[in-house]
Amino acid sequence: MTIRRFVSLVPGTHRYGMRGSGALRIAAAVLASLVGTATALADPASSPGSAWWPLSAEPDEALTNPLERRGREVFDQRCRACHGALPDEIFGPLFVSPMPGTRALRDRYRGELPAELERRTDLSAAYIEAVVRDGYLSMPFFRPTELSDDDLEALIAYLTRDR
Amino acid sequence: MAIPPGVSAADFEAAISAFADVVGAEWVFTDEDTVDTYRDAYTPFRGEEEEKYASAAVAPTNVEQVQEIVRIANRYKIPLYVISTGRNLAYGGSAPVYSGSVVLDLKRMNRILEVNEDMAYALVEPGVSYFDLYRYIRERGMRLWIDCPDPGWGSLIGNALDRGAGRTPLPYRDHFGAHCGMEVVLPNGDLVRTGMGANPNAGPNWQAFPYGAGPLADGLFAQSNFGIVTKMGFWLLPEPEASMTGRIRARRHDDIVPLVRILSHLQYQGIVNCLFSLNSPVFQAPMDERKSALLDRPGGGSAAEWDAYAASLGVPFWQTELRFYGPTSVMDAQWAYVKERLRAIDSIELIDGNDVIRFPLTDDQIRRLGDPATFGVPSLNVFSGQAGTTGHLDASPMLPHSGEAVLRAHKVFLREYRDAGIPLMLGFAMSYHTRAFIMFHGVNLTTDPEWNRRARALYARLIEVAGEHGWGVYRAHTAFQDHLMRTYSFNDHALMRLNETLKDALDPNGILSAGRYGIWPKHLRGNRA
Repeated sequence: MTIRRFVSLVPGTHRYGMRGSGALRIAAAVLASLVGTATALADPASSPGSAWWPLSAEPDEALTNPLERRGREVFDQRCRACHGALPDEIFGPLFVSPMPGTRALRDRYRGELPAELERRTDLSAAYIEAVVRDGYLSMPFFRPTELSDDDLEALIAYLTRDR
Repeated sequence: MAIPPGVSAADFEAAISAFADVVGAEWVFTDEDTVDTYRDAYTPFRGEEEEKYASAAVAPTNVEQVQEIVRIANRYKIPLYVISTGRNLAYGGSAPVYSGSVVLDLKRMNRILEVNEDMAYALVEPGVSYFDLYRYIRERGMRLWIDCPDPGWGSLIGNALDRGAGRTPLPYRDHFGAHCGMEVVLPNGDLVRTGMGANPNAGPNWQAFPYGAGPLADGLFAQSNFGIVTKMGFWLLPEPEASMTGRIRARRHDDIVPLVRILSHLQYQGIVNCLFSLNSPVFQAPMDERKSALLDRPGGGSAAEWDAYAASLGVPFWQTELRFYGPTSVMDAQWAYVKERLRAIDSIELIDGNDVIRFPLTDDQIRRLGDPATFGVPSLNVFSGQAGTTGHLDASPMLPHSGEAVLRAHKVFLREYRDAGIPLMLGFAMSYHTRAFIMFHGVNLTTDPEWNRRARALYARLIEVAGEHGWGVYRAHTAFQDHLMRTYSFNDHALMRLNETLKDALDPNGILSAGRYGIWPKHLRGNRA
């Protein structure tokens, strides 16, 4: 089943369509996260998890839903370097400020909404998917070879979970 | 489904089906939504007809699959466009130069094949990002540094092949310069290894001695379309003990001449090996009427006129910061000698940083780093400067190490920005390479097509002006690579004739990355912009 929608986030970017969201693929993502094989890296010499973040991440033990747990990993791997919490203070010289996404959203919402995505409770699946696959201003879009449809489903589950 | 120009629907369908047999159907993308993620996220043609699109994408996971894909492309004359991680933002991203090409996405080839701590090198595939290699090294407690560009999500191989640079000591920050050995799939599907890699028994010698014997082929595969690099070795810096800085200010316009002479010689001697930027609080300050008038004076204004202007602003004409890496005793001696040499400039001000940072950094320090790339730590922090834009273009001329050239370049480029009515972005010389400065210039892009039209015109003009002064731009957005290569025109474009001769010999069907760096296959040379 494919649900097609048209969301224009930035004037001038063209139409965006949402990919299919089958229960099978969600089940596959759950299974992958349970058996810990949710990585494309096959060679033993390779890093156990590709991530756009310099440090190993800690799992969130409070998350019991496997899909949401995988979503939290995806957030750590693909989102946190821009959308994480602002550090209390800077270590060493300051060239450009950490957390560009959080800073941009802080300037945009001016306190009306949380600047950190993980603290938002108003995000919809459609909006998250649109931003990830179509980009938003200086945030580029991401290909399935960087962030698979399964991982996107998990990310959506994490960011839209009941709290 | 979009079809590459000049290819029949039947042939394209057959090729797509053959690609799927090689990589699995789930790694061949033909649906419009997914193919749309192979655009240029920072296109200067947002929403305009000239924007480039792929027809499909195929994502192999090993060298044998790449060879098969190339053979299929030859059979059906399918134009391929190769990307590593597709993160070359500001230089074309993941979009092809030739619209309708099938993107060969190497992101899944993400194996770190070897990190040798004793010999301080890494051997990686094209899908390996700077983050990947950093994490691999840190997780194993290896005392090695990588050198990364400011955004760390890009490919080591992709960045080196576009001759990108980072911010740790030389030679490591010159990414092509610090590579050693390649494996390349040629356009006919053959597989070659360069340097010592051509010796089947080379082992670690592949990453030790770059030359091997005979012609050095590596240069052919950077900023070109002569092959697909599937492995590349990189020399790594053993982790320094510590780092500290010293700051330098010079008051006068002409001080840049001895400043550059002394600093460059210190660099050639290895006493200064950090990345430093020659900032000018005068030239980089916002444009005003007095500055504009000075730029229109003969020669762009005399030293005395500029010094008077700088005095009215109350700022030094030049300032820079040197960073040292190593044991504190060595760094102290280096900085002491730099100070001794620079005291020859009578207006010089030399300020101790008193800011020793010791390595390895703790996790907590890494989380709070304001300038990670200085310490070889990848981040995405550089995007902090870009909120509200839809990307940027980057025009970076190369200047020789000459204070006179730096002065002239500042005035020439400031005039271009002023005449375009676009505020200066960046506009300072940096010591990325051993013997030349990159003089960084940027132009922001927006959602406004009229602004983007002006930004493109300025960008094209910067490339031309740089060429006219012999400061050729070193790298350009794919939409401007024809334009760039025309400035490298000695002997009626003999270099491009050589490139085309090589292209025709290596890739007679013209299947590989048509148009990259102005190199078009024979049947598409009419496409040249």
